Amino acid sequence: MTEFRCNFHNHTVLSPCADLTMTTENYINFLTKSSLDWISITDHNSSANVRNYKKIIEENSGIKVIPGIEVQSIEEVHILVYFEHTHECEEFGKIIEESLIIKSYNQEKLGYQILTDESGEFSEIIDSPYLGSSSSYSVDKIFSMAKKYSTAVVPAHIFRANGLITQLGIPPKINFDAVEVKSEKEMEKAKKIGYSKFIFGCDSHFPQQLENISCYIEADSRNFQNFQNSLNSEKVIPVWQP
Amino acid sequence: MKIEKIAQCDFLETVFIPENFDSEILIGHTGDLLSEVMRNCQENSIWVTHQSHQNIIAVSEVTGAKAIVIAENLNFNADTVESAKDASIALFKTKLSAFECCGKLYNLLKND
Ligand SMILES: [Zn+2]
Ligand SMILES: [Zn+2]
Repeated sequence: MTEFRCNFHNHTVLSPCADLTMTTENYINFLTKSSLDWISITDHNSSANVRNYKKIIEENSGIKVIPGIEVQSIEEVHILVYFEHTHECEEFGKIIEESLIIKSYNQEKLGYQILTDESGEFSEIIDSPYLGSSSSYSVDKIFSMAKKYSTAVVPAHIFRANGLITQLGIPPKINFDAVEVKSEKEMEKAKKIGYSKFIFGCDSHFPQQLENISCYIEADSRNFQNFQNSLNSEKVIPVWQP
Repeated sequence: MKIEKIAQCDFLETVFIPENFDSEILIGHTGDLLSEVMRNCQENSIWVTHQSHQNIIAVSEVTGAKAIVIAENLNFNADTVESAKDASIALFKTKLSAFECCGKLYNLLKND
């Protein structure tokens, strides 16, 4: 068994709110400085950068990347969906993109949405839809749509802005694979309302945050099954951020 | 104010009114963040929101809100309407913005 150092919540230059310096180059720079073993790419409402970031990171750092997406539901709840397969993440990402309710937006004010090619160069600026918008799908619908694939579905930062409990007040009756919390206090609060399976992420929007380890997973290898098993068996070990 | 009088408002469309509904509507609240609504919404409220998730019914039960209006011509989820029947919460919709709807309801309740 190895104790893998992980951070499963990171944005790229595709997310309008992420820094323009969240390039593949900076991912490599900061990730190779860190001792991380296993991460995920989770842009807002799109998975269009996942394939190229995953390939470049895995080839240049030896770090494993789980394909992911952070969906915003119609209730404005952020939900992380982790996929076993990149092509399924891409298929799901397209469905989410098409469902976004804000089509055009002010790029200068709200941030650029940048696609990256195979070599890590900027290839295109996406001006529609606005990836910071909500999908027209509800939390329940997003859960059931995601569960058609091999996935782990995890509401993000549940007590913060756009968190499940902030938006919905009471835990909905959905059997999530885990919930993401940001502190020990939040974990205790989440336990009181019935949650027992947790994940801990940095939600990196700036390159400096990419170095942070947010949790450990003990497993014999970094495959999706082991990721899901450690979530389901309450075995993800937190590293609290200052 | 009796629910029948509220249901007569031309800017409201009735989605569901429970049988034998005898609660008086005394005050109002508006909000979409259910954690905020749970803290601030008062008993016997009519609550104006854009939120359609089923949890609005549970939040109404917790706070004692008796009626919900969904604004901007939005619709309640089907399971929300079902839960409202179980919890005896009245549901309305309006084509108006939440702002305009609140203004009208405020005047109505104030002049009652
Ligand atoms: Zn988020
Ligand atoms: Zn995020």
